[in-house]
Amino acid sequence: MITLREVTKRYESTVAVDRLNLEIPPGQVTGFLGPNGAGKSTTMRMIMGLDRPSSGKVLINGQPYASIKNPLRQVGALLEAKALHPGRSAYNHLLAMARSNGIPRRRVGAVLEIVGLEKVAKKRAGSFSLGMGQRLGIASALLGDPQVLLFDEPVNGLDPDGVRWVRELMRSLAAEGRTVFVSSHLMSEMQLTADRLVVIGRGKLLADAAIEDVIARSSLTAIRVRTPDSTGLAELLTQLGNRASQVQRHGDNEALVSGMSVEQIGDLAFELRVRLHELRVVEASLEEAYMEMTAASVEYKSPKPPAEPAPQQKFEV
Amino acid sequence: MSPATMRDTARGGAYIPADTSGDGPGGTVGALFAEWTKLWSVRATWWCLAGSFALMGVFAPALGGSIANGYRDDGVHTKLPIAESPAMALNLVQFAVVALAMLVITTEYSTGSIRTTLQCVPVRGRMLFAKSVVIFPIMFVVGTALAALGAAATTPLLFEYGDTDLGKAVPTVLFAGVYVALISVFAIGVGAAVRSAVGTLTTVFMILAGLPGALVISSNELAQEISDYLPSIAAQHLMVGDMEPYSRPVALIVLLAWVVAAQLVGYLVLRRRDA
Ligand SMILES: Nc1ncnc2c1ncn2[C@@H]1O[C@H](COP(=O)(O)OP(=O)(O)O)[C@@H](O)[C@H]1O
Ligand SMILES: [Mg+2]
Repeated sequence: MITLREVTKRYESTVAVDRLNLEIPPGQVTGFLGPNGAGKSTTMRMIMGLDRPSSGKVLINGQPYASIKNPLRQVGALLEAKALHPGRSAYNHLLAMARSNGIPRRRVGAVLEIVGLEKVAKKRAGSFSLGMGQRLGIASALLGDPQVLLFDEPVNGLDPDGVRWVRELMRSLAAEGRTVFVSSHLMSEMQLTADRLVVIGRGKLLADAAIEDVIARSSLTAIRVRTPDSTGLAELLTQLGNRASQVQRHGDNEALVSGMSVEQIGDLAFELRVRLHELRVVEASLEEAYMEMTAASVEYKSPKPPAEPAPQQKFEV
Repeated sequence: MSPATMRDTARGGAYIPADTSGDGPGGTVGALFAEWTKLWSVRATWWCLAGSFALMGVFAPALGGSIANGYRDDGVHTKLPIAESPAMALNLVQFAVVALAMLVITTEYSTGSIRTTLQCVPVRGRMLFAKSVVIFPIMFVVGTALAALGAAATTPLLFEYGDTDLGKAVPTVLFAGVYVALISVFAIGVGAAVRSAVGTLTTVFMILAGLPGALVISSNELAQEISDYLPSIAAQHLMVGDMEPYSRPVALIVLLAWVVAAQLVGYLVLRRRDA
């Protein structure tokens, strides 16, 4: 369990994290989403006691990180990859970490095996590619077999196989009852990995809910109404106009209504004796819900929509 | 990316839970083990040590030889204790040692590995303590060995002007070890406060060489007196034991004051600033 209470982090001119309240429960993968610069890494650094909050409290299982004895045994984190000396071998890097927390030497071999780096364990970590650096970071997070795990953008630099492996690893760790908190700026990644989503923008909490609720709450989720009776539709929409949050008419026989339930619209159509051929929920995609939520908080808006394929496709497999 | 960068061809496996038998101590003792492991697993350590011995091997005999020559030319019949030219040479050689000590902390900031270190050992004071406590005995041995080897290399060049009295040489050699150990811990404190390698080396160089240089050449009497309390001057009094202007215990106290001040500033910066 990770708890944040009214956490604010100010750097000279920027408010990186703004009065954040969070509870990250065990047994689930909690996705931590937000555009670049939203404050995800800052939040994770504060959880790990690296950055000090300007105000508020950060607790892990009820304790600040610095008061945990041998903390690697309770909390593991991959923050930026390559937080290591490039001249030291991967093995010695992990060995020093293990010794600091009284973790037996053979655990080093075990985590190297989990991440698939056992063959390059004696090589200088500085010669590793980005993906191998991420794997080593994941190995160091797993070293103490901790109950709480944090991963900051773990799939950066991994190939599709690696991405799938990370996803399965997170799911299996959560299934064992561990707390898994993973950040990403890509909804497509979180959609496949996370049970819950915490979305932030400009340091502020935008959503903290199960994935289904995030979709349901989007104004882009709407009810599609189709009828052969065009005058009936006009009458139905007039009545709905007062109650629905948004009504979009598509031609004479179709409309999209948001802010009302299927039941409410169905009952009204029955009262007005309007024949319906279609009445169904059109769900926003998670991606759309996320874009809508963060549209106002993207730190550097691009002047035009990018001509290239959207970056969120990058990790899709 | 450099051509030496490897390609990630790894395949990750399933999670293996830890087998917890045979746990080590962790805590403060664990922090010491970790620092020891880190120190000996990078090349810079070996380079700095090799550099310090090479410098001593050149400068102690050169200094001793030229002093003996001076005696001969002037026709004086004084003798130079054999450990004194290595002690003088330490004025220069100490920078190779100081470099090694400060790298223990500044490299962590330049590489980002300080984040890993503080994840393992989040109590700032314990982290600084572990680095200092590991460096101290190692540097005592290094300093003693440097002075002893310096003396051995100098003796043949002194000819009849060498004073081989071990009652003088042994204390000088041992106090050289003490000084090198203390100045290393001092450098770690400065490193924790300044963080960058260049900034730390500049600061330490100013205090050890720049400041005494400036004060000694000034004709102001007060400046001369102040210079006696700078660490590298106190170190000479400590090693040579000349009683002027103060005795060895006083020299030791002066040095300790510098070490404590540097460590305290380093600790306060660690406490206050983000990693
Ligand atoms: N050490 C720092 N000093 C000053 N500003 C910072 C620092 N770290 C982060 N920031 C700023 O805080 C904001 C949040 O950054 P970050 O937490 O890295 O976001 P994210 O990880 O979501 O991309 C950004 O505006 C960033 O520029
Ligand atoms: Mg980030």
